Amino acid sequence: MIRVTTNGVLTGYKSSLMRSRNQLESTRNQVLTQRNFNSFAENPAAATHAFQLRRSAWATDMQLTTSDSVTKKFEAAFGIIMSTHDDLAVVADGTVLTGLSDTSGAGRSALGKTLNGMADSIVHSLNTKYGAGFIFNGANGDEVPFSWSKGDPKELLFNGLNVNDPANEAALKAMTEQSTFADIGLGMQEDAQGNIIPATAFDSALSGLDFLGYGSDEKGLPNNLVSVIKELGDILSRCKEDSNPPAEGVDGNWGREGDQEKASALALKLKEAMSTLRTAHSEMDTRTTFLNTNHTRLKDSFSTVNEQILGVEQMDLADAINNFSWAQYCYNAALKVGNTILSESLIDYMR
Amino acid sequence: MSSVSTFGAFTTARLGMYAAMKGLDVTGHNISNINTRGYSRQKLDQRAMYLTGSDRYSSPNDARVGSGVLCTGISQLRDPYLDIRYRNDMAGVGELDGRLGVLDELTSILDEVGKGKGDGVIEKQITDFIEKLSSLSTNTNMEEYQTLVRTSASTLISFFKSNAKALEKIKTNTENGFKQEMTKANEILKQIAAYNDSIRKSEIHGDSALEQRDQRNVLIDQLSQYMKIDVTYGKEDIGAGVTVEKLIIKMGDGDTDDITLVEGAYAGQLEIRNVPELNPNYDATQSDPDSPSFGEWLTADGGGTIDPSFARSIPSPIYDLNRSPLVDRHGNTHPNHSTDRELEYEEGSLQGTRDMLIGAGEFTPTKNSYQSYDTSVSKRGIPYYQKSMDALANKFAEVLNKANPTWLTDADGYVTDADGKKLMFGADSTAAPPTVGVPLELDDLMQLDPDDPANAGVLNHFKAYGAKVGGTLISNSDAGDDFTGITAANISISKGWTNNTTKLATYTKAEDVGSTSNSNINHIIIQLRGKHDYAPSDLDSDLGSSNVYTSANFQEMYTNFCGILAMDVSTTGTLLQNRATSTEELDISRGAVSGVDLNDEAANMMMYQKSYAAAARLMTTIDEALDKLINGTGVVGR
Repeated sequence: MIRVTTNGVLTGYKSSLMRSRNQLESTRNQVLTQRNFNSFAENPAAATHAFQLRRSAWATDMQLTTSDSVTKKFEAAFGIIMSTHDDLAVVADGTVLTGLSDTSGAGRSALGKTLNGMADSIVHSLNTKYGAGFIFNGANGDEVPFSWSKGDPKELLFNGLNVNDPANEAALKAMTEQSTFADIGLGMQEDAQGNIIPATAFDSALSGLDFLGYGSDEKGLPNNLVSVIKELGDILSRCKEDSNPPAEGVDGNWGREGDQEKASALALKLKEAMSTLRTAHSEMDTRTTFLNTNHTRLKDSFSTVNEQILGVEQMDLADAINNFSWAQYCYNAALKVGNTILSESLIDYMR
Repeated sequence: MSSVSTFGAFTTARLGMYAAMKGLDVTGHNISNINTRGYSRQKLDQRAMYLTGSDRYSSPNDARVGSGVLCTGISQLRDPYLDIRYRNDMAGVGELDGRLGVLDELTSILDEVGKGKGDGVIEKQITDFIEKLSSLSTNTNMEEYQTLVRTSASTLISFFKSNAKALEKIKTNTENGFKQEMTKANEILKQIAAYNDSIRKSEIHGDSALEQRDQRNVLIDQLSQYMKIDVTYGKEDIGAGVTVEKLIIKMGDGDTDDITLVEGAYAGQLEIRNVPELNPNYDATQSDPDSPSFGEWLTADGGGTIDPSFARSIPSPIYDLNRSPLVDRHGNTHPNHSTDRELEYEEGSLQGTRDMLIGAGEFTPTKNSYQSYDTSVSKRGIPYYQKSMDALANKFAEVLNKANPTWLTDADGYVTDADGKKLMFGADSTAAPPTVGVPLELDDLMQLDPDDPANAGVLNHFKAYGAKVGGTLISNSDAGDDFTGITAANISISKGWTNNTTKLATYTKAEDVGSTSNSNINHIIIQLRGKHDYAPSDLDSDLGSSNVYTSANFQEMYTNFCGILAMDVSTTGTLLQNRATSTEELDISRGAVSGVDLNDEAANMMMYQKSYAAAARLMTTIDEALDKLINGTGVVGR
């Protein structure tokens, strides 16, 4: 038979009361913080999982910011190219042909000035900045991409190199292949040499030469759209300058020998250059669409991960309050029992 | 027929009253000591008194009666077996408690759950650093983004440093706590010996000294928390056939080789052992006796020696303990225990605290160290977490510095000038820049020791003509650019980066010169997010093997060892809870045997009071009977 002593009962009661009190505090804490666990040790597996999810959420958030920045740059570029294309479409299809068939020197001369003006304005557009860098200078965003040479006739320069000179073709090609990679959630990785694997990041570099073309063909005519327009403009402008009788062998009001043939050839080149512009434009359109789709995907992913984090960390408030109420009830019951613990003994009944 | 003593019955009544009064005394003593810690209830021992012997001339019609009750003494009710079980359990509880105390302190520093709005502190700061790099990657030509990155790195580094400092503080506090525990244990040993002395004297004079035994038991219970003890009661012969009890306390669980801590009135003291100092430069292959790396031990003048007795003595860095010779309170040494003895740790809070002080897990040194006991990787204490923080800081600095090379290189890895032409270094390198000589790969250049005068020529040459793109970002002091031996305590932004003479290189290849390429920033980001191998020998070649124990990115590595801490806390807490519950039950069982119960004492009180009344009534009866005999007999006819 076990002998129950006063102190033994008291000791047991005290430790049970403490346990009940601890439980009450723990559930109260859960209600206050609304977290499933308030320290790593309470639930190591869930805590590890939560940290992993948070890392994923931060990475996605970073990629969203980068994606936003790149998308805005592309949208700015898209707008510039779009308006350039629209303005040129009118000129290329209508005005130039009109000018070529126009018998009046004064009319062609006016057209020439329009074309020269247009060349200047295209150069200005493509020298636009987004933020602190030039949009259309690939990875060389600090330098102005397009400029005019100092001589006469003025030639188009890209980063100081004449775009029409065949000797510069290799260097210009290298410039169009420059990359500026941005991490937009495609799993940016490096190869063994430390170079970014192109399929794992987004190349946000845009080169103006991709849109305008460069180099010269076998006839020596420029491929570059602005150069074509500028030459055409010069040729047509020369028509008005002729105040003297025209030179030997020059027909109509053309300024120099061969101008008319050259003008026709340039008109065809203009059509080719427009085609290059349209191709590059639609490729950029596709890439911009991809950026937007990717942005939406990132947003959805961010949202999903956040929900998962809440699922792991957050306590359902109804559950928490329920647990707390029950713990409170148990604690109160334990306190009530305490009164009967210190019960009377035989001594109280002795006379 | 035997004779009847006329006045003998008075003695019987008197003895009865005396025993009842004594019984009431004992009951009162029990009741008033109900709350005294360690008190064992006492009871009165009685036996019936029978004085007459056998009589040669006795008759079969004789009726012999005893002469009353004798109080033979007071005894204690205590179960010694429960005491043994309780003390064994307390040693386990003490060890777990010691460990949990330190683990809780570590948790307050390393646990990031719920801090920083749930995102953590170091975890979040690493992400913030990568975020700033990401912003820089889309704005490579803007100086303010470089500054933002540096500020973020500086904050991260300050977190490393503050963690390292806090961990060091915990170590110091724990060391002090350990020494205080030792002091307390020593005091208890002395007090037990003093009680032994006093109880022995009382026993010699015939007093069983029950209260002193109780106090001694309380002290032994306290001692059992500090270490595992084995308590035995021997006998001491004091001459003339008289023996008294002798208490012997040994450290251990009853093996024959356990060391005696207390024997009778003699007690030893715990002290940290003095050991010969190890030679940190020791090289096993060195055979020249004059070289400082010869010999495993260090002498007082800093040289090496192969004989440990010539080495300088230092307190054991792994807190090995000795027991000093057993002395009594007059300073006399016990003849059988007059030398220092080496103690082995066995459970108890001293072991628990010591494990936390020296446990280094995977970072346990494999050479040039004092760790001589089984250092299985499960023992992880403060050094483990300190070294883990160091490993993280070291790897972070290594990766960041490597990803930010100082010099421009071409596609093959050769250092070039600002125009991208390979820099040549030759015997005659005075021409500026020279075109004769041998090109140098960047990796080879970075391996050269800048303090070696033989390398001065080539290093100055490259400094003069090479194109600087990056440089050392993290160093071991903010006064310089030295990137060796970086730990969590000394990690700093390098002097160059603070002064802006070193920047984050946005590109490192000659083909990207002049552009706003962000190729190197992306490279740094990939490196920071990527997995790296951690081996203990990264920090110090003496530290364990070069086996990779973790391959993780920075945040995973941090969460990893915080997770290990959390698991430890959780497991230790559960074990402690279980052990403490069972110890408490044992204590209650002890109390069931030796505790005072008011009902019992009340019943005893009534019993003794009634027996007193009965004895008094007997006396009155005898008085009346004798009165009749003396005053009422033979008065007829007067």
